[in-house]
Amino acid sequence: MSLSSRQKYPGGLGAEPPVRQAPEALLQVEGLALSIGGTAILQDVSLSLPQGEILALTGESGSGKSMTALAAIGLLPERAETSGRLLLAGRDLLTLPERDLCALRGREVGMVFQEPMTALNPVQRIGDQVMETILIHKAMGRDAARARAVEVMARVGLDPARIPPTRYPHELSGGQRQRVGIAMAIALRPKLLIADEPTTALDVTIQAQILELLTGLVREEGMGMLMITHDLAVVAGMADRIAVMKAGRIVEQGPTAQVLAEQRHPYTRQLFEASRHQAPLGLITPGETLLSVQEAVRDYPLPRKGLFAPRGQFRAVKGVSFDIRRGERVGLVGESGCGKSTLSRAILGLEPLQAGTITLGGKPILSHGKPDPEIRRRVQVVFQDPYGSFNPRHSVARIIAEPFHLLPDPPRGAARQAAIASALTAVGLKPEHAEAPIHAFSGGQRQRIAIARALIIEPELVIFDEAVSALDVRVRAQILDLVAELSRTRGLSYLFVSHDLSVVRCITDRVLVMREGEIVERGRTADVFDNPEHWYTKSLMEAAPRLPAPDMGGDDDAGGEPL
Amino acid sequence: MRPSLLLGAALTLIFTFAALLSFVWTPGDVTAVDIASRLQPPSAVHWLGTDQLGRDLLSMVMTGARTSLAVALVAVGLGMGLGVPLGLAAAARQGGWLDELVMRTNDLIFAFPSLVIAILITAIFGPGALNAILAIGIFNIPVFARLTRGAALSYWRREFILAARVAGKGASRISVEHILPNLANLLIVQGTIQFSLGILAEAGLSYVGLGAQPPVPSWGRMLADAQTMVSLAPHVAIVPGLAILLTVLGLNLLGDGLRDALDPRLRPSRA
Repeated sequence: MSLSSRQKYPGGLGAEPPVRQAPEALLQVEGLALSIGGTAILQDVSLSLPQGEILALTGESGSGKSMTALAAIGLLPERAETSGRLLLAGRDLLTLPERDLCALRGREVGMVFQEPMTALNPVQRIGDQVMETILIHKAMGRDAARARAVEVMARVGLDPARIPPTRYPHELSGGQRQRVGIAMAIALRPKLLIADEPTTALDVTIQAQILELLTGLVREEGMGMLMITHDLAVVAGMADRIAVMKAGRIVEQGPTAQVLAEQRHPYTRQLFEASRHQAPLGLITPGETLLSVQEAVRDYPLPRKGLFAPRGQFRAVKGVSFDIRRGERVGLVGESGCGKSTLSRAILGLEPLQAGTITLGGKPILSHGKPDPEIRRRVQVVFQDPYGSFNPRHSVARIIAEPFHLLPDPPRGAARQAAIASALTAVGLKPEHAEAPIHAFSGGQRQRIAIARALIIEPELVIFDEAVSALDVRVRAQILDLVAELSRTRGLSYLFVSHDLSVVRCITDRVLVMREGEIVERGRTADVFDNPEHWYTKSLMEAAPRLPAPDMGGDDDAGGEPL
Repeated sequence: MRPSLLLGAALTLIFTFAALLSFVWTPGDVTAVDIASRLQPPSAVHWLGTDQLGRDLLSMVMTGARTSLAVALVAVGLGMGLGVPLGLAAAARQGGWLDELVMRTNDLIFAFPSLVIAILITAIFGPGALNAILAIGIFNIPVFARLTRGAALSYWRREFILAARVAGKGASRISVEHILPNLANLLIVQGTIQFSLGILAEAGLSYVGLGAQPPVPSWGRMLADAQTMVSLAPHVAIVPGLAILLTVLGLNLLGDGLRDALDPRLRPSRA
């Protein structure tokens, strides 16, 4: 492939860059500061990324890690004011005009985005989208570009015989789409690859494959990779160096092994401890059977293939049976599309079953297709999205009090105020918060509000549907502690649905592993995690990225109670 | 506050005020014909001049504003009053027979040009302001039904709707309590824009003689009457033309400005 067109750059870099730029780093950030409208976003950020290495930038949401990545590809917001230097192969990106930045993006720097569902244009064939990068930079003619697109797609594991470049994004799975995204980013063999949470939206087995692909690309093609991630386990497994960011500053950086071992900055320590957090569950003696799911089957009609063709059925839940006893904490794990959400909605009475029964305390949730309010008020739910699960126009009090609708005689006036106040107190908020609008709260506080809403009518069973998946690790640890405390003090039973194995491990007594609408393995959480029997559970455990065990000092975070 | 929003609000207020004022006072009598002083240019006596029958143009424009605003307001109210509930119901029963019925009826109405329907209604009931209202109103129903359904559908997929269902609330209660308040901004903005379109439609119907009948003044008919005299006395056409232009412009600016001002994404939420 021709590299001669590299010479188009203005600025005197006419000659082919030397293959090995001895000690000089590929990406060198020196004292980068950034502010938008007077608000400081980044302060004194200094990084160095040599060719062929992986630098992981980690931290919680709002720490400035994505902004640093955007600076490295020259995509900062229009109003951003910067100081310091950001050198890519010797050129300062902060002072380059937009024209030159355009010439650089895609060719010198490639970027992989978080959301494979939205990063591709749905009306363009995937091959054309990969080709586009090549054609925009006029790197080669159409035919050569097409050949290169096929080549690079094969490189990222999209076998042209199975997944031809003429496919559209909607015909691919999430992992395959992310591969297309990576193919677009590396089509012109950029020197620097930026990956912004590239696996956060993917299932754990797919995540492992994508991480392996990215690492392989860096090692074999000699690129430098700047990897943005909040997941410390991912970082620990693949990065050469780690930089930990907090509130716009880098608080600690160094070689991965050293940062993991030393954890000099207290914030780094907090992050690692929170990631390894074990919620203090305490011991419980399960009571009588509370929830009983017997041979539950849920079918969805598929769209007709032809005008008179019979409607096909998709069986999302294939005859699942399990029980939850009073006081028990049960986990339900599985990858996206395995039917776990459908099953939890059926338990909530939101979805009808085609066969089988779901009973709570011996009475069916749905009688004649209609949910019985008497039964339904004994089950409540906490959803995943702390931003989408509240009506943005309602106050906290109104949101929390919504389940009162299920009571035949809901409390009014002072009794209502008292119920709201006690629900808020139970989740660690203050009664004064009741009148505030919901948008005044952070993600973690919102999840507490969601729990308060679930608890206000004192249900016997709560379903946590990915309830901590959208939270930062430290907030996640706090919410898990809260859930554990509620189960200890109130004898709350719950079904904790999640794709995140480490979360399920730390918050449940018993676990169900679901795959393609069936429960493939079940048992005590510790047993299933330590000695998985089904091949699928084994592959899940192997794929899950894992933090190395702390070398010294032992675990002092978990409240000291053994499982 | 954006300047376009202020300008839009000011123009709308001026014409609303003029329309209201015409109930109690106009500079001249819109039914008094004075052939001797016809087609006079603007002067101290007739601020905007007179038309071919010697009527005071300012009085005509003020009373015409009353007709235009009333017809458009009632027509948009009719469209909103029927369209929004239909749209909410269709969204609540997405894919069901009610959804199909509402949407296919919408398609049917959209398939006829509004003028043809207006002529049809006029042929049956005779011309008049009421029939103009009916014709314009009918065409506003599908606009609001579609808009409401589309926006409501996106809210139905949100988790807070699921939470409300877990709280045992039914579809109609959720539609009114959770969905409608979230659509309010959108409907206000679309209402303003439909309102300006209604004024244009009323002017169009009056222009072809299907709107308000003489002697009730109407901007559209003033334009039609002035048409033959444009070379003789251009101000007779310019005055109602400008009135239509400024009102529609004002309402559109108001609609755009409101959309920007009410959009929560453009509002500072929290630090």
